[in-house]
Amino acid sequence: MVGLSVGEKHFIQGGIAQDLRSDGRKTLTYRPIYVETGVIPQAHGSARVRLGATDVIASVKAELGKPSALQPDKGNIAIYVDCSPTAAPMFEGRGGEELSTELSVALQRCLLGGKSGAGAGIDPTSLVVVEGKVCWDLYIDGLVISSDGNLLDALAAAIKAALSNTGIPKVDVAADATSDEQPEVNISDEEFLQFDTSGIPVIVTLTKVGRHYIVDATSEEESQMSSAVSISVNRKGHICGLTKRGGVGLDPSIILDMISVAKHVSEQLINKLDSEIAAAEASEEES
Amino acid sequence: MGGNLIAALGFRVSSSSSLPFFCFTGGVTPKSSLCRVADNKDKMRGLKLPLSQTQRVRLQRAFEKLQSLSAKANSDASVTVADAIPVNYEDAFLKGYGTTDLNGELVATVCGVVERVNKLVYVRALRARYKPEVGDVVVGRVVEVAQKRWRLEINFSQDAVLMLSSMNMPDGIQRRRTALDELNMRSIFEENDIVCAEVRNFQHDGSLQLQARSQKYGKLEKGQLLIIDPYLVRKSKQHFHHLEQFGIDLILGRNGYIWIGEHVEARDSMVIDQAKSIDQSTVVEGINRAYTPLEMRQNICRIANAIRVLTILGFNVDLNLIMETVELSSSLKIDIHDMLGSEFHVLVAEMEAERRSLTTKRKR
Repeated sequence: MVGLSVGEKHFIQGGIAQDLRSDGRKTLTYRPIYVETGVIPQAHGSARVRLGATDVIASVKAELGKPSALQPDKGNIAIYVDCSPTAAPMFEGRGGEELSTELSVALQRCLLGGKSGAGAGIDPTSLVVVEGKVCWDLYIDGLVISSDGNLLDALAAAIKAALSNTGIPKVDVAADATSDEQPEVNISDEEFLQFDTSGIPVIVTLTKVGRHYIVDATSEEESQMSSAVSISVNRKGHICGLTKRGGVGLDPSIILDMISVAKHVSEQLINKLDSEIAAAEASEEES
Repeated sequence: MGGNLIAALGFRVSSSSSLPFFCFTGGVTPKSSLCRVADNKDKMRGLKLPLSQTQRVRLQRAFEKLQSLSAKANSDASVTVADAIPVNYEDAFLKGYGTTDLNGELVATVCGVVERVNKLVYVRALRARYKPEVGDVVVGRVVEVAQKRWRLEINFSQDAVLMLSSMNMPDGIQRRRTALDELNMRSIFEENDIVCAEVRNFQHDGSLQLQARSQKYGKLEKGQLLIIDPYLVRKSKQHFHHLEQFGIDLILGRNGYIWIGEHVEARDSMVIDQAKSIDQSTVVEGINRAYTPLEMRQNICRIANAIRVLTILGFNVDLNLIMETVELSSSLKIDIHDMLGSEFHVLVAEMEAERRSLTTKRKR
């Protein structure tokens, strides 16, 4: 990341204090979001989301596997994020690992719900094929191609779009399977089941610079942050996850205020994202 | 090297008028060869605009109009990789940069514009790094404070060097730089400071030497830096623009670094700066320093967005065009952030096509 001079930092902070950031946005305005779906044909679902200069791709791959013994009626979902060296030179080799783990854990917490699977954005019971024996394992991978701040929001949006684009192949189970053997399954090439993604939350990251919070910080603005809180909100307005980054301590009242601001911002974001995803799917069908 | 040769020969090939290079979304393949674009991951240019069908048509029409207005001699000047370069093979000619002999034919190896200087035929790549010339005004960022010099990053293949002796001393007296001056270098420029300077000469190893002896050069504060492709900033008489109606300084660095900030009087900067820098170190939180007033900030953002729009469309960034874009946006009462939307891009392209057709009509 290129450093900033004292004058530039002061200018950025002044902009945030006066509600007019470097590109003319207000403190609670997102950059234009561009969504493309179906960018990886070999995956079951994929999407690419561009938020200003931040560029991320999410892909969903499904494989047949065995459900865990503790939860035989639920499928398995794994989320993993990789920061590509094309995004920043420091991501080369193992440099991006810390950031990748942080992003993966934050996304898992927001989208997958608790250990028992309760409250997950993606319903794992819809992934089971034969209870106790066969289920779908969903591998969701995120790739950061270009980083200009606000990776978490972009990744969550990409995962939501990828899941809307996902078609799980229909599975026919051989009816006469005994209880001990693995049942024979016939994976259809033709029919696909779509996910219901209306329950998937989005993530709104509020970055605190000085005494004000901004939404969708660029990497310059992020370099000025004292702390950042990422709040995952779903369509019903419920909080699905909360992550705080940055070393500076926050007063509890500020956190509550940030949550209410995030809830307010998330309504517009969810609507915008849904319309963009619908438009992307429509244009994908045309081409 | 090729650039140096051309400069040394004293020839300045008249470059073609700005050729729009941009990306369409939705897989529309533009018809004219001018619109073919090399794979472009640069942050500024990689922004693809989501255009509706009507917007796409309007933009296409505007660019075709511009293409037809550009000088005839250069109408087939732009090439992409593996295009054959139109050359009269009977004449002896020298193959320059960006060309290669393929099956007896001269073929381009980079995307760019064909330039001819006497017998030399070469392809000037557009997305290349900045090619400095002596006397260019550049804006750079200090990356290192070294012995008796500062190293600046200016989007060149090497860091440029600004010698301590090429700076005016705080007291204005011309004297030898002492060891004390060396120790106080940080009070003049620190790491990450933005500095405006002029190219003085090339050193024997190819690196650049800068000088900042005049009042107008020096540290830049209270504003924002914009990074665009160097080829969009053409050499002109004036690179420093003081926009009186806004009270804003606009510096178009030839290396693609553009500075937009509050106007600072050309002053005997060093004296005041030293006093200020002492202030800065004690009031590091910056609470006491007043922020830029809102109206000036709005103008700064408007100009910055105008430059961003022009870069995406691939137009040359010069003062007239920037001011016209800003006036267009204020006259249409477009919100500052909406200037980065697709509609405004199309409007700017149309406005430029109109303007160019009027000027060519007037010439005839």
